[in-house]
Amino acid sequence: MALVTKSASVSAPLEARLLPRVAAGEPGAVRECVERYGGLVWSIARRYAEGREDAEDAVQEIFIDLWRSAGRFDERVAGEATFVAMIARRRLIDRRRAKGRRPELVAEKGEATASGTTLDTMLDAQIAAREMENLRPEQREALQLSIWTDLSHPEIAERMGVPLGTVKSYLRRGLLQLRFALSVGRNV
Amino acid sequence: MNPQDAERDAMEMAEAAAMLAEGIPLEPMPAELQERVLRSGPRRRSGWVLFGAAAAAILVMALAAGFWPRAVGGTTVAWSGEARGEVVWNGAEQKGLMRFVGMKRNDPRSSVYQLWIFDGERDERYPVDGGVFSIEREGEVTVPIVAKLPVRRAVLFAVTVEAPGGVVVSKREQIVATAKYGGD
Repeated sequence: MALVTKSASVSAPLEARLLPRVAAGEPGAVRECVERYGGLVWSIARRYAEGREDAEDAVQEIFIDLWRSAGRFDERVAGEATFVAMIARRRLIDRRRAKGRRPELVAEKGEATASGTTLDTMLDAQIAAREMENLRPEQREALQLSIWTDLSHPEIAERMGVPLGTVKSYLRRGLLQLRFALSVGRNV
Repeated sequence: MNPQDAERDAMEMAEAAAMLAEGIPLEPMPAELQERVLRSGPRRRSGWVLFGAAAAAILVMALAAGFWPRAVGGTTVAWSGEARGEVVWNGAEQKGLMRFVGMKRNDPRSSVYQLWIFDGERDERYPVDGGVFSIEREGEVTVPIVAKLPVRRAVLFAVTVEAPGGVVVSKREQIVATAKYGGD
């Protein structure tokens, strides 16, 4: 099983952009997009969704969202795979919230090779991984709890033994730092 | 895109990148699911648009002759609510048509109509998106149904008014037509 990890090289060339071609209605772009990002979307859905059938329904909704949103992709902000992951994660979280449950992600973290994923995914993953290490430990902990557990912000505050406002501040500053790193990393 | 949406996208992309950085085990998407995604993709919708235009032309004649449900081969039920007309649905072939008579025209720049198909086999809070459409003229209008997910057992069709482009989950604030269905 492949894994998106921090082990990729940032010098890898970026792959040809697909989302602008999808947005332009170019023949064949949709199939290429599904072939390139299907594994990523399916894997994220499997982590968030309740069972296989729920994941399959979610994947179809995610791609419908992606076709609608393709024109919004801006490569100056992040890579295409990260945009796809963002759309997938948002849809999955919305689905769980609509069901009255908080997002819960079953983490299967590991250190396997990154074969089978896209160079674009690896580039953003590496930039984010490096920047995660530059975050203050408490910012990193808050962000990891937010991403990988079903804890609410008040619960994260309780777990970390700090006020709620402090947790929100950790998360916002941490995300801003990652966002800046992605932007700089992609535009140098 | 407005600045708030751009800001939200950027922050959520940072979160997504952090998620990727922490490691997501990748599995290939099942081939059957890939084909389903492709069937419901924009090319499919374009095809339906073309089909819809052709079907509408044919149905003008079919309606006059009173046999339009046979064109779909499904079960016909009448709308209730603000709309008059019928919906015909063929569950086996996953296709259907809606006919509206005197439905209020919408300005697609400010709102659209969206069909929802309630599936007896799914959670009722999440009806299947049956497609977005506009009523651009007075009189009779026929619209093809474009279900975004397989409908296993249709029990109710409902049309809502939504923002341009439609929504993934409707707040159901403006329901203009419903039709109970028990045909499959």
